[in-house]
Amino acid sequence: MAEEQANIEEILESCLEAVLSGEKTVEEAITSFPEAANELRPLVETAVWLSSHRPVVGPRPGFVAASRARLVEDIRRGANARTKRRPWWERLTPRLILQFSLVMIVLVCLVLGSSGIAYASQAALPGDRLYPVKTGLEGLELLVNLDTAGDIRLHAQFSQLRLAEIEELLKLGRYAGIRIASANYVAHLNQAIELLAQLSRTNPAQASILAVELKNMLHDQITVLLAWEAIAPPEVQSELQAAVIIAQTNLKEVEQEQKRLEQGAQPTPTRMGGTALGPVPTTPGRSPDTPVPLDPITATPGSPVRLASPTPSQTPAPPALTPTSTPRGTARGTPSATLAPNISPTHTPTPTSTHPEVVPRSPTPTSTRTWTPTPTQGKSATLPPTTVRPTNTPMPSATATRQAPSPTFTPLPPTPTTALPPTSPPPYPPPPGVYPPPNPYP
Amino acid sequence: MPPFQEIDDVQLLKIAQSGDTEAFGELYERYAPRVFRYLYAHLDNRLDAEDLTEDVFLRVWKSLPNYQEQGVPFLAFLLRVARNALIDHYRRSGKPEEGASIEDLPLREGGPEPGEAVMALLEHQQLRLTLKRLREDYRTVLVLRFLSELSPEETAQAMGKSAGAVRVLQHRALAALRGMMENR
Repeated sequence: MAEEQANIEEILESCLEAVLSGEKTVEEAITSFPEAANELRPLVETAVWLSSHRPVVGPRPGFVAASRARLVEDIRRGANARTKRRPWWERLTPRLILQFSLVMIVLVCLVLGSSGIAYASQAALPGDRLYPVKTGLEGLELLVNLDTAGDIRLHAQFSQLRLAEIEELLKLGRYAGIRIASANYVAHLNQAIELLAQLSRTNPAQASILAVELKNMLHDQITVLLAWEAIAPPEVQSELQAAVIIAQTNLKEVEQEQKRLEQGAQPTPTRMGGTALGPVPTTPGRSPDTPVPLDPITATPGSPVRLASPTPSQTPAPPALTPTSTPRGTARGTPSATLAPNISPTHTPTPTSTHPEVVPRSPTPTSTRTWTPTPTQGKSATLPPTTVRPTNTPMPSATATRQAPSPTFTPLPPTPTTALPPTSPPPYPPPPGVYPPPNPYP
Repeated sequence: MPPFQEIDDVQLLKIAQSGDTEAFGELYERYAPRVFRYLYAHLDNRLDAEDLTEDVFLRVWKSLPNYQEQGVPFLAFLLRVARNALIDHYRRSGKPEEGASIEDLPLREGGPEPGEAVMALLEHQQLRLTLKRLREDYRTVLVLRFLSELSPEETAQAMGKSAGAVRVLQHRALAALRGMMENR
């Protein structure tokens, strides 16, 4: 038995070597070992999938060459490794700059009594001058809130607000802003789910309640997003698809968390070995989590580079179009359903984003990405009003269940403003001494 | 002397140990991507991974005169230093890893392929979260083998285990990862 086990591990290694070097495909490699094919196939596919993610964790173009020059310069200057950090102006990310600016703006407003600016900012959309004030105020709300449950509810609420912004932007044809709103929506969702996982460990009862709220909210949000995706112009399809996928992934996370809470599962402590390159404690003083299933995100259909799951994925069924709350008014900040198509119980919109049948990537993956969202044309296309009437597809409000802020701090990452740095990871700044001190974050 | 690009690692290391910073720079170019991938697979912030990569090599430079190839190959030595740097980083930051924020990405309205930057960050987040759910030793072996592209022998040396133990660990780690993905 032990010998057989040792053999399977050697066989696995030889298959991995052949596949990852590009010498053979997965099927060709395991064909040589038919008796172990069923066991080998999923393992080799998983290895190929993981290897295909090298570009995701790879350095930015130009980083190595540029940092080499900096390293050599530091060595010659006798720099101390412990204190080696980039100059403070290079570490000022747009986020930090924006946070500081927004705090100053809001403080000035408060001091000068310009509450009108803050009030007016509530209607701002991505691309508007007051939008940073709006998101800055949201950040302050998170800042003054001191408990995790409150933060979760705030993030849920802000995700709702982002959807309301997307709705408004779709109406106005301001498609460039949808990218920002969609990205921020995803960020709030992810934060809420992460915090829920944390809360599960410290306060399972409260986490249970919030899991139900988040689940219901996500169901409704996915419904609305799918509806928008079905009628949105091509320029924003990819953003909406990505938002749908993230929301669906997070919904699964919440459902799993809910199941664990119902079962009263305790996190399994992981082994902290003493190997030379053994486990790295990720959080000081905290045991790592129980291994929890989490399926990796699947890229949007049509993208030739996919985060292919090793298992064939199923096309998700359309979400049940069951209203979970009564329709709300069209007050600003609350997504109205005016943009939703006529969704009656007899009409089920077909989701356009599906988890495609997955084929593991070739053993020599490249980072060629040809998915190119079409730049906005600046058109103000209007959605046909006759086809959209509010029905029972409202957005549940997170405010109804929102708790009073209590003092914990989770700063909200501010949202980008109109004047934003380049999209792709900027080429690494040139080596020092050749040019003036570079600012990679113009 | 031939250009550094044509010299093998062992020779280059010797030259660097004699104090040649350019030789060390060449070593840096050869090994930095793998060290970076190891670090970034554990961190949510690309800037931190970049800083730490340089930090690792600065530390290595300082201990280079005392380094000897026997027993621990250079790459394994690098990764051990990287692991220590990672621990120090967590200790200094003193807070749990936070999810990378979409806003940390440089986004520009109307710019080319902004969605790609978003997707890249999301993919990294998902990958990191997926790996984070695994046991620490499973995560280490998978990161070293399949992201940092270490051979089984190099992985064994980096982890201070035998090659056989690494093969066993690799098998179990892949099975665990596969199991996680299937049990959605």
